[in-house]
Amino acid sequence: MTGTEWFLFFAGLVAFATGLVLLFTCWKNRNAPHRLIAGWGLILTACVLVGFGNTDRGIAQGLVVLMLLASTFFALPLFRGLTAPVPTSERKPAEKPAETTLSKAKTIAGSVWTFILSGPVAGVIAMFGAAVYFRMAKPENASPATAGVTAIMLAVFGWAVISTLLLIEPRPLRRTVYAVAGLLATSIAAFI
Amino acid sequence: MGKPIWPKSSPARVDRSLSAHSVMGLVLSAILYVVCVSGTLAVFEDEFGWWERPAMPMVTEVTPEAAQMAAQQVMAAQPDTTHLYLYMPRDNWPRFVAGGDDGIETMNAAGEPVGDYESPWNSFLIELHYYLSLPHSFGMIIVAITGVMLLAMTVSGLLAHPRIFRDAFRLKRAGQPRLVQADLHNRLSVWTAPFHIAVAATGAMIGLFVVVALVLAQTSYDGDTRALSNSIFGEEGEPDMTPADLPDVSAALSAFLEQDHGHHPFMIIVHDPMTAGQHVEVFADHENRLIYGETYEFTADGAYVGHGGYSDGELGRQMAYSVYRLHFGDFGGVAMKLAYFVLGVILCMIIASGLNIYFLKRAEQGKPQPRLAASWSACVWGVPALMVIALGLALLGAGMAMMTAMFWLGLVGLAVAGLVLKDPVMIGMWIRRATGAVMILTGIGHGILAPEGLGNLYIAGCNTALVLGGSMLLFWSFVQNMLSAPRHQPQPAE
Repeated sequence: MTGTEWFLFFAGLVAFATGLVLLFTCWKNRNAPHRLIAGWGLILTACVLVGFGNTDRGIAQGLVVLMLLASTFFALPLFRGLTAPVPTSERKPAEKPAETTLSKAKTIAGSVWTFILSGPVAGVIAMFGAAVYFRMAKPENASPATAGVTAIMLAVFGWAVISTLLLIEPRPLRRTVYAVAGLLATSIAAFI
Repeated sequence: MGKPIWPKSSPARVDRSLSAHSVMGLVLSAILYVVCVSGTLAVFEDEFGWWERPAMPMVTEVTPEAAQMAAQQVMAAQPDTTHLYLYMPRDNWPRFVAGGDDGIETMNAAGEPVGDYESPWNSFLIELHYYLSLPHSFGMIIVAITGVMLLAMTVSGLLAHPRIFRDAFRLKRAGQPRLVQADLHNRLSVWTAPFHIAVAATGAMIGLFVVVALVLAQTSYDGDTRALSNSIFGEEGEPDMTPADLPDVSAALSAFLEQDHGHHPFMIIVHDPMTAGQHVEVFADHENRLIYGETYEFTADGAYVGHGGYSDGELGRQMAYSVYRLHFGDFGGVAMKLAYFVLGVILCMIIASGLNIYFLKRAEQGKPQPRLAASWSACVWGVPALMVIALGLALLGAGMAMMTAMFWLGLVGLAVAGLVLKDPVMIGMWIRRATGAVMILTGIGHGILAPEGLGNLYIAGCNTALVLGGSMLLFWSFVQNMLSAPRHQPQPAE
């Protein structure tokens, strides 16, 4: 790194720290939204500065420093001790009607089905979805490297998001319908 | 009072997201925790690899002649190898290692072999982190899925956090234990979210590459499973197996150094050595980029052919080659490794506190699970403890299989002990103390058994970290025990 690049990099780190302090002061004084804007603005500016300082490696390094600064803020008070995770009081459980064997079996089967839908099925939907994207994005006569890497990223993030969305849906039947519909749609689109 | 500047969340969405987040946490926490603890330690795999082999000579520079000598030595030992590897010294890794398909050896500065490179604890750690000690093809996919689920938990956690901005800096240290744990879990999760997303996504991408390649092969490449890999990482040319002399590695390295572009060579691979189709690939570190390295191709005579385009080629190639450093924190020397270690410890704390919240909530609802809570506490402290014990065993000459067996059997034993003892605080405290004691003994023991390593900054650093970290664990719990108020006892249900 040249002297200018070092300067930009350190200016970026200072901007990260200042932005963090501004966000904290905004949090302390809720009637100062301009500090919120300035804080986030400084953090964005810092990303640009560390990027100019040391390209993509600089951005990664800057974000790590930002996370460490924030973590230190929370870690320092922890050295003074933390309440042990031991229950201090317990409530008497509400009386529940005794479950029959059939209803217990239904609950277990429902849990297993939910696991299958939000795990493997969500994964297959994401993979086929990524394959559909790849077929559309792959250039005819050029290297498909970028489309391929984007497809891998889509598969990973897609799986995470689809799993979450399926688990968020509270009605088991709708969850199943969404998953099966997604599976059919992506598999047909991927193989046609 | 003015209108609040913070966005509002739908309570129903928050409840459902929280429920999804809890379900994922309950199913995955234990496996995720093992992967995260091993990954946190794996940041220092190079340093501990050297710690295990303290007699390994320090090599700061390899001349082209020494590289040629090392290549000759490897081919003499492994004449049938299809690839020849020379790992050159680089920043934070002043070593010279070379080998082929059947293993690698440590070399001295002249390129002569001086002993094995194998380091059992390191191998145990890598097997655990990459494959959960399972068969490789299966284990890697399981670990990758934990990465996907960590991402899913980050998504559901953020959706379940209605006061993400309002509580941005709030941290309760005392009071209701569940709220203390929830504050700890939420604040650390939010502020270190970029790290979780980066390590989870890159880990999942590494592990699921084969699966995605398989799917794309069926949908876009008529079943050719190597097509995706070839398009991203380049294709090897048609092999010509006609026998030939060993390639001129020294000429290739000299030609590379003469180009004088300021990039440091850290690895040389000879493809199909001693055949007519052989060629030399030099990997160079681009210190202002996240890419693992750029490749420079040379013929067997050392004539320059071209570079791979990982630093300036297609965006996809650059992204694919940036995954490794981003996952392991290898993009800023020891400082970044230490930062990644700290962020890894925080991630482990987040996972541990997540299940603590669940057990405390159950107790508040009148459905306490002291046995499971104690078992979880035993696992939380037991995983690092067993890894440290494995390190101590490495010092005594134990092999990887023994460490693996000790780790998993020990973990089951500790989990059962937790179920029996029913006291999460006590079992956690005793395992912490035991971990501290083993760390101190291992650090001091290494100094006594391998005094030649004390002059080596990396080995001395590992020993110092073990003794200091062990002392903290051992004495911190004593100090905390003395300072803390008498523990609250659970009140019996009325």
